[in-house]
Amino acid sequence: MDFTTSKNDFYKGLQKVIGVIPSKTTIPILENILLELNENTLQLTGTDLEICVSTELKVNGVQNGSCTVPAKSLNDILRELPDVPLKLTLDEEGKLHLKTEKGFYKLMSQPKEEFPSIVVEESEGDMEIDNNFLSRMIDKTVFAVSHDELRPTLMGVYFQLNENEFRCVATDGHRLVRIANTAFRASEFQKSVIVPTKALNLISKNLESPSEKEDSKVKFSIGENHVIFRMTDTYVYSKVIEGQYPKYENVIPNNNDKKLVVNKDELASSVKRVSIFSNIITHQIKCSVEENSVRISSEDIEYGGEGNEVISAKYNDEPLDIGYNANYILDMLKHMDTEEIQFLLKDSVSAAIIYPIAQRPNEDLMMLIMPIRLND
Amino acid sequence: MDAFFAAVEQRDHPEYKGLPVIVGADPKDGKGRGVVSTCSYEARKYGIHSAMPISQAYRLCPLGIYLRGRMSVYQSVSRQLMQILSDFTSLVEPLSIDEAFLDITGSIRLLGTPEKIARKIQQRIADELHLTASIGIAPNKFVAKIASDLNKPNGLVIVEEHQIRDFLAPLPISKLWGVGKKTQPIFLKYGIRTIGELANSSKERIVTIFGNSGLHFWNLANGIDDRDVVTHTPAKSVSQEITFDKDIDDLTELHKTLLYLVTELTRLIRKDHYKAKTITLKVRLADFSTFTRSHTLSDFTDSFNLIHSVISDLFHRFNCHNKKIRLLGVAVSNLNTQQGGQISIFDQENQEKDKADKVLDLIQNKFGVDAIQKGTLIDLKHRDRLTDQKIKQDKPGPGKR
Repeated sequence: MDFTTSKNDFYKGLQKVIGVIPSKTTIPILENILLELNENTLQLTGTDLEICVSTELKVNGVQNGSCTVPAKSLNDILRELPDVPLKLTLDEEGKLHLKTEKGFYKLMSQPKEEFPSIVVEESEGDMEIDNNFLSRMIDKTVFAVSHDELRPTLMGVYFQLNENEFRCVATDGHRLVRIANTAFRASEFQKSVIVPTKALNLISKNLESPSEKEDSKVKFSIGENHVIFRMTDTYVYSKVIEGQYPKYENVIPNNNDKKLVVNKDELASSVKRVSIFSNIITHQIKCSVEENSVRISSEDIEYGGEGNEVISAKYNDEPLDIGYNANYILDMLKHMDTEEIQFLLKDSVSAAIIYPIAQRPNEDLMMLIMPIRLND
Repeated sequence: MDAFFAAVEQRDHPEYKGLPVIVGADPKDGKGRGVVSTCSYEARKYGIHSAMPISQAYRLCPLGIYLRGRMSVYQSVSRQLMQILSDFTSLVEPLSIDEAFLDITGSIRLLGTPEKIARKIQQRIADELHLTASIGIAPNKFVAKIASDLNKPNGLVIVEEHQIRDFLAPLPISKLWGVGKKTQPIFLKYGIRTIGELANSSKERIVTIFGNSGLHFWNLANGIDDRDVVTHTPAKSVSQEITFDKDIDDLTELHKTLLYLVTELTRLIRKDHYKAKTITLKVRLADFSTFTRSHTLSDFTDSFNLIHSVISDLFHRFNCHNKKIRLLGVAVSNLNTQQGGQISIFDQENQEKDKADKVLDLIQNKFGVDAIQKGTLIDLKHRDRLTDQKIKQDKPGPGKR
């Protein structure tokens, strides 16, 4: 293997893949990244056996070949180099030489044969999604997934592809987000899968990269037990989470009739301040909803601190006291785009439903949050 | 208290007076398992001591009086004891069922010298409980505890500030809190056999060998212990375990035992209003190899259903297929007493079942544990073996009985 490239090009390519390398592994080869040169195309591949990310970049090829090198060392040396021309060659002893005009570095390599071969199954029914659109769907949901290994099905985002709607759902059992886009057309395609959080984070990161144009599309296909997202020069292949996603529709109440409208930023900054005095374990705050106002308060019984604020709101129903985890409220507000948001409430122990005051065209975004039972 | 469980038995059964009484597991003619909880001074003459395997005790003294113990009686005597102690100061820190620290600094003007107070305590214990107690008086907890052990039974040892170093110096290093089977050989390796030798070593040297706990050891050896007498320390963990009469591999029986352990554990934590985040399973195999497996939840819970499902899952993943099991234990830690709690979206069904727990608690707390039980547990074989329940408190230094 022999090629030349520039530091910036090579480093950018590596950034698209490196996130998949497991930080702790019992299989040392997974710490390596696979380099394969074919003519003027260099392919970089990394995997943790569940997820595989691969990207292509243009280089000046001299001699085809392949090897695997430790991802961390390669990343560390590239990061420290200025943007200079690089020449990479694999010697007969299996060392990868990285030459700059000032010096050279040798990386230990392992042959491609040692690297787990990931058979990326092609599956029929590719469909295309706008970059921005997929990026938004992931961003709006991924924060609400569970990290509890006891409930593996909640550790990813549930993708539902219906006739004229693409829907993503995430929940950790305490809050839930559902976003649907109806500008989606896939008549012969009705499927649902649970995509692991790590895969989605890798996709998001790749969608942000400058090589992804505003108007480019992601090709998306679902296989027997995997999904593939193909971007301009990169693909992310991931096993899906097996198991039945909970029947979330049943838990979304439709009889919450008390409507509260508040300014999002005002609520967020009040909650942030008041929650400084909440219990550090429960992060519990109390929202006392009254006619045209919400009092947000907290009390730390252990250390004796207290916080209180009142913000104005639109509300014309009976007063309610509801406890919430401040972090859940803040997470949710961070992912709302409109200036005002609307809560639909029922009582102090039932789910609250939150909507932006106006939905985007073709979009339906809903969040649900469960209260904390108040002591009194 | 002196030979507490055994002394209570001798008190309630005058015919045992003067005889070796051993409270603990059933010796079964020398084939029994488990350990000695306490034995009378007469039994100690045979070389029996607490924590000794019951089979070994039986070999030493086959004609001794072996009793399984009546935990509820001891607990009630313990409550009477703590009541008496609290008449002398409000600062009473129970260390175990029959030991406590008392801070009597504030009582001296009212009740007389420390020695007088100690004599009065011993007198009241003798008059009201018909038992004997040994007391150590010292400027700090560590020295007081050691002093109390030095002249049993019915002893009273006073160590004043200027006597501390001389008092501690000749004692073996194993008397230090935190020095046990693992640490003692390390001290021996460095030629330190007594507390005095440790006190005379350089602090830096000890810290280099043992790290932070080295500082703790060195301070104790020099009589430095500035911990207060704390009347209430929150629990750190709560556990329940069973040693089987004979090693078993019957999965049904093992599952039933886990169900029982979790039932008892959750009843205890709910009684004290604890909720837990970390759940631990402990398995000891026939060859004494011991394994623990833990899971930390995203939320605090006291729910039987949730904790049981975690324990079952841990047990399933432990994969004890074809292995004989000697002991099963369950524990919760990462505790919190905050009331209320995050309501979950999906656990409607569990929340319904949790209501049943609350009713079960009400009945059991009022009419006793046997008043009502889960149907599955009716024919559980080893329920009387549940003697090892522990609520571990956040304090260093075990209290040896």
